[in-house]
Amino acid sequence: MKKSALKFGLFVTGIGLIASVSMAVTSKPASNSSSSEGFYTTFFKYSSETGNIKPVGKSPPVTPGLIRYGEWSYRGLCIGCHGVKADGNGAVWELADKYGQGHKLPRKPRDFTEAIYKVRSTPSGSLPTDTDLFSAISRGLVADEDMPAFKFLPERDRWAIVAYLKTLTDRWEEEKDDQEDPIEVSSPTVPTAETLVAGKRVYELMKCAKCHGELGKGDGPSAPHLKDDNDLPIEPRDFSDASMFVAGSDPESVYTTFTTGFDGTPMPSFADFLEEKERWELVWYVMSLRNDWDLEKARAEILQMNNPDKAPG
Amino acid sequence: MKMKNTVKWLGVASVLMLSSTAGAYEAITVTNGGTISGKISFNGALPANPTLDITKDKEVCGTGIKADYYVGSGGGLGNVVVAIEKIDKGKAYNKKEIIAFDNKKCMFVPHVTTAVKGQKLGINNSDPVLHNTHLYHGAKLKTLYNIALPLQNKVIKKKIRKPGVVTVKCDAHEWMLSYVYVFKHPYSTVSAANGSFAIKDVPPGNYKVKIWHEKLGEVTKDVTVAAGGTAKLTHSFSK
Repeated sequence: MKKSALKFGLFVTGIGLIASVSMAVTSKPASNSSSSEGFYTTFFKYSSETGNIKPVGKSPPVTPGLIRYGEWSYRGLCIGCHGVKADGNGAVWELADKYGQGHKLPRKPRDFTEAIYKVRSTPSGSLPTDTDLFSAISRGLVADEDMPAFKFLPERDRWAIVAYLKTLTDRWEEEKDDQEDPIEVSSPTVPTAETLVAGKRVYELMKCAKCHGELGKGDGPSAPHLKDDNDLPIEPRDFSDASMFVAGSDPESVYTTFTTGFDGTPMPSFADFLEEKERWELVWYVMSLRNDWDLEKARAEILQMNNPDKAPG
Repeated sequence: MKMKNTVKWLGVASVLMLSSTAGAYEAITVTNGGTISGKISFNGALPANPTLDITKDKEVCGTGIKADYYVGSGGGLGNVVVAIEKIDKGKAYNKKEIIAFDNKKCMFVPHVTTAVKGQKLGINNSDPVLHNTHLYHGAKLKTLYNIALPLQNKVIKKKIRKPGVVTVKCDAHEWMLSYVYVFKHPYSTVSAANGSFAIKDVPPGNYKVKIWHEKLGEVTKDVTVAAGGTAKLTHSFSK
């Protein structure tokens, strides 16, 4: 009896998620100023975004109570996609994958029992930091991920989910002594026309075009053969559309992405081949491939960031 | 705040010390060690290696390349991992040893190798094209590392942190494949092309020995090693 009630609850949650996710997806940030976007983002609050969301307050101490609270939050909010066993085989995935019904997710939901995380601030092969998980839950994962944003939840709730996710695998326990520190991201350089020329050279030297294409459209010669850890086809990012940058479209996130790589995908880490200067050159070149990017605007933003006292202008 | 962190780290450290003493391999002086040696063979003619579908970079990778799944000569079978399954104490080994691993003409060299957990792979790219060395752990093939190698002849050292079969692939060249079998101890080897192998300095005792081939599967055999003696071990795979 109890079990069937729980199942019904899950079903409703699943349907709710299907509806909200598909609506969130049809209202991509690219469709600026359309009235429907406002409606969906305010009403469903699920629209994932590319801005990185860092916690404002301190994380609560991890207690059995917090983990239990995280578990109940998981059951209410995450189970529809990530599944009862937290292995990514949720109802939303299985319905579409096995039965061809409902909303087809473009990527398989994360399997928390394996804990292979794509978006991290840590080197390839390392577990993410708690803040990485917090940020992913908060902003969602745009584009091919369909992972909704849960920033509407109080921070404590998001931390509770983070604490619970870490209990779903032995990896945090097993790899404690091997866990590597997050990479250090220096302050962005101020981009110039020369930076972009140098960045193009780094892009060529690192052979980014092999997957991402000469113009960063995601159409390189290797693109058609790429697969993820689930043996499902995966596309390299098309840099022209900033609304599709999974880890965030700010310069720091682009820096982090090619430095750490996306574990579980063909995107490798380039950490061992790039000097600090080259990294920023590459960041700015990749940024310049965006349709919406403007050198002067970017310069102004960085100058403003470096000298917050001065009025913009 | 700082105090709290210190307490936390003390806690972590004590758990670590407890857990690391539990499963870790202990190096001792082996004076009366024996040897496990023998030959791995294949019944009948070796299965044919398929021709790989070279889809790109043909000027570097070549064409009509055969896979290296079945390697052997004179009835022997090479590239078979032979290893003691469980041994807690034994000979010392070089923890700092860098296991050479090359990307050459769009093939991994060696095709099969073994390592001790904690040792490093020294990954090189001999080709003037972009390779990425993508290590996957276990049967479920979950990413362990994914390292880009855009430049030629620069060795990248990466620690192997987990025991088990590590499958190595290159996302840029989907036919590339190799295996690193990682153990907690140094008692492992890979059979030569004629099937011969030897594991030396084994403390006397009874062991279960794993014999693994990437396509032909795995068997476990009981072996008794006498002090200073040589234990013969043979196995014949068949299709």
